[in-house]
Amino acid sequence: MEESDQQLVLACRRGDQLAWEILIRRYQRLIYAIPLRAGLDEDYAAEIFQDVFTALFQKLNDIEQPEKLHAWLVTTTRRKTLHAISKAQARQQSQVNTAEEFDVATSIKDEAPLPDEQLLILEEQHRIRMAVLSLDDRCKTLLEMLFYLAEPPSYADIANKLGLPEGSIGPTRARCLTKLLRMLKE
Amino acid sequence: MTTSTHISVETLANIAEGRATPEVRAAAMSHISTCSACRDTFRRLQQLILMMRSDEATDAPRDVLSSAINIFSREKRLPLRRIVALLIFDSRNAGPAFGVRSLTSDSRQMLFTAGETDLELRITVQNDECILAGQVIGDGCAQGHVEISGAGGRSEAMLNEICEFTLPPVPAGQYSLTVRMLDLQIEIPELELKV
Repeated sequence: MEESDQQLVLACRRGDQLAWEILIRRYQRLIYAIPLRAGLDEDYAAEIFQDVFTALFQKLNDIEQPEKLHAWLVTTTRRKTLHAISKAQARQQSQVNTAEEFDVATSIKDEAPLPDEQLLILEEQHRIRMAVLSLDDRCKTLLEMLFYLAEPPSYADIANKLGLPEGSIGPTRARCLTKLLRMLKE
Repeated sequence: MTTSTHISVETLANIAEGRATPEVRAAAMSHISTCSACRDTFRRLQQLILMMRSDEATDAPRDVLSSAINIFSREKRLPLRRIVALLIFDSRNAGPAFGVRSLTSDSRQMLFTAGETDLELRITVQNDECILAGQVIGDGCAQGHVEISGAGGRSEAMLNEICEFTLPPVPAGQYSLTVRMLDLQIEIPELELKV
């Protein structure tokens, strides 16, 4: 059975390197996505990613509610993202001051680069992705091909890949979606 | 298209994905307008598929991931002192107080010492199982972790803000106890859980 965040944090506190790795792999997409969604580039995203997990490592023994690690990580990433944005804006602003041919307005990004609604969508997508990853291999592959690829393959290609008759793709998809809905409802 | 009176998930998914024929879609939508169960399933399926299709998150680059994973081995964990606690009081061995003919109790109290830290334990029996509770008395104990393991299984809990804990019940028997704090680990290699 999959270990909970709380179990993993407790294991990390006991020095379990594998638990640390599982935690990072569990949250890597979400933590990397937040700064990118706020409009920062890959370099900033990588820096924030490293900062967030360094902070987690340093706070391992102080996190009061390990079962709420998800919220802690999202809040920390958001704060670091907003901080990075304001630093970037300040840097851009100072460049504009020394080279007035640039339009200040174009250098300032959206005042609310990471609204709650965007963050909630990212978190929900992360929750769904985690649920998909915990499905059996057939369901996981099928749903990934149908819904996560920019250009989903044809039913014939999917059937070929899964070793199923083409006619059973629809019913299999229905069973997998039902399982997924049930897991998300729990 | 339907199972009993409801529309199948397969049909609902076809509609949500835009794969259903206009006729099937029209018939299903007519049913959905009067069936709250199908409407709810359809709405959840639509939302689910939309969320999956709009998920553009990508994996962090491999070097970024490796670097974060390596924090654990690169950074030095605080050196951990391990101390085996010494029993200094056990109510089971204590004689009755002066003037008391006998001592019968449903609980047992013990006090251990480990350097500058003391550990008070209380064992109570409930439904033939033992509940171990207690308190760590010393600095730096908040958010520590307590664990017992033995033939009867394993049980663990966090210390609260005043360093108290209560473990989930376990069968009576022989256990080892570990209290893990920031830089100190207190161990009781043999702890008999019985009143």
